[in-house]
Amino acid sequence: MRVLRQRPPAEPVGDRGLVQITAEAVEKTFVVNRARHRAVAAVDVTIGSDRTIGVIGESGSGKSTLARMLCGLERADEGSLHYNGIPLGQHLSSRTGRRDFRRAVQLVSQDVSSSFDPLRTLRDAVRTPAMVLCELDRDEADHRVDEVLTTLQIDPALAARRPHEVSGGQRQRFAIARALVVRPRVLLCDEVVSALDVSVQGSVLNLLKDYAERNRAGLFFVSHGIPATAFLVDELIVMRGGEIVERGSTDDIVEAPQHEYTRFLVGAARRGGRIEAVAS
Amino acid sequence: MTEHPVPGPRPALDPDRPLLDVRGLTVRYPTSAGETTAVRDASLRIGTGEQVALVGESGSGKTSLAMAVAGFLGGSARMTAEVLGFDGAALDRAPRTGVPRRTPGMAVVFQDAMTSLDPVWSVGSQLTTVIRGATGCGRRDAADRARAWLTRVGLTDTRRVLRSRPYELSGGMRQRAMLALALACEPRLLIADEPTSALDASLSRAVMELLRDLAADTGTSLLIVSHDIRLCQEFADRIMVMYHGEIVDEGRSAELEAIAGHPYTRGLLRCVPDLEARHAHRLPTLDTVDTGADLVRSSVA
Repeated sequence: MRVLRQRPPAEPVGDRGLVQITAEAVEKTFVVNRARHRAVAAVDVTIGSDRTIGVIGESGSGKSTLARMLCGLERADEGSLHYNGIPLGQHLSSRTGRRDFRRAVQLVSQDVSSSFDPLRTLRDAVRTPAMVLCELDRDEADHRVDEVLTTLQIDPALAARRPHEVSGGQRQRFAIARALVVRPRVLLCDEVVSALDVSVQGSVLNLLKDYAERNRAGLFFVSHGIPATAFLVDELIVMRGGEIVERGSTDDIVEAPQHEYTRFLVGAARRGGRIEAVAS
Repeated sequence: MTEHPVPGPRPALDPDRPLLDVRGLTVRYPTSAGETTAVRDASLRIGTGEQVALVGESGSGKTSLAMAVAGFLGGSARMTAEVLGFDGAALDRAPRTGVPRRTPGMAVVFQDAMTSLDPVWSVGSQLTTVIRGATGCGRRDAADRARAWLTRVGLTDTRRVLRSRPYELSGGMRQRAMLALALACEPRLLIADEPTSALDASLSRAVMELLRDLAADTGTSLLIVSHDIRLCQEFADRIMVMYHGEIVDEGRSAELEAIAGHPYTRGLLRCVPDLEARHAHRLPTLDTVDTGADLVRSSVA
């Protein structure tokens, strides 16, 4: 008799259960032009549906790489990643595990124009995750898409267009809609508003805050703008050269920064400049 | 590789003798629904070595104004201007359309390097052609200068870049190559039209820093066209705000907040979040801030 290898059942993710991703001493090194570049160095961080965390730092400080590792898009060279106590790699090795994880954890990346299929309509792009991850049929998924578009104040008529037929700000909102349509418990945002002009930025940040508050979802918000990040999150992590140089509550970091680099960043933000303006 | 000397700093800004002097410039486009006025009676002056930004939302006419000055307006556009002077002389303009001919000493960096570089030629041949045309130097000298410019814009593997065609480079490398191409003809005025909007956030900062530093090093005047008022406040000496085809506000970047007279400028500046925003329940948007007047929003969102 053939013995069927039994897979361990995937940990069920209840709609209201706590979702947690823990990274311990994770490291990532890239080789660029034969030179080794350590993007993330021995970082410990726990993100989850019960916390909103912001990561600030200059370009190249490793914040995007950290976000990609936390959502399983990048493998850590060293250290461990756990999702609700199970090693992330093991969880992502099964189809049901991947589906559960993607339903609970979504990433909105900074390069929105290249993350949409240019041949498919925006409605198609937003509907697919609802059908695949939430196992809705086409009509139900369409209904869910309309719901999300309404919440995000997107004109539903735009959904019939292709990605290059809408403006950058609208495309960015569709990218957020595509992540929110599966009702994730943790939303990772990598520089989602940096490409938008300030008046549009405000409305996108308001929408993200509303979503997190209404659905009791967690946020992991990567940005180089302190004021926008401080508006959204309760905890801040400051990264430089792949390392965490300071972490704490948003109020503590903004009011009494301890590390020299953090003091410099907060000082620059107080003067109204953006942080890289004077970063050396 | 021989480092070719690049021109040193040019004389400082002389407010009485602007490099670019534009007064009463109007641009019209014929459309199926009649004539549209994209730029209405705009006046601007840019001094030698000055870095100026033109800010406005999509459809405000900022690109039309910049392209009108550079002579890059399309065939159907009609342009009128009371004064259109560059470097002390009136620009030579086409009699029928009023659009100036392309002028030596003015270079443009376009939004998307992918579509504005020639896809068939290698970066090296495009660069040496520009250098030979601008300076009249020999082939070998031009190749040396091309390598020197690529190094200056931060490209390390110059041999590979020179041999590559634009599509073989990454977005950031392409934008840098285009910057080298624009600066290699040693312009006195560099017009950058949304130079970073095709790049991601971190790359766009690096390119803006490079643009600012290179322009300052070579004494080139810079006209940045952008929708991002914060980026402009940081990178330009002076800002002009365009709204519905008109320049509605103008001032030094640091003082813009104090002197902003137009509701659109005030609204835009009020939308920039500060650290106190962390206590707010919602961030201000152009629709919610009190600008002191009702704004007619442009049709393009």
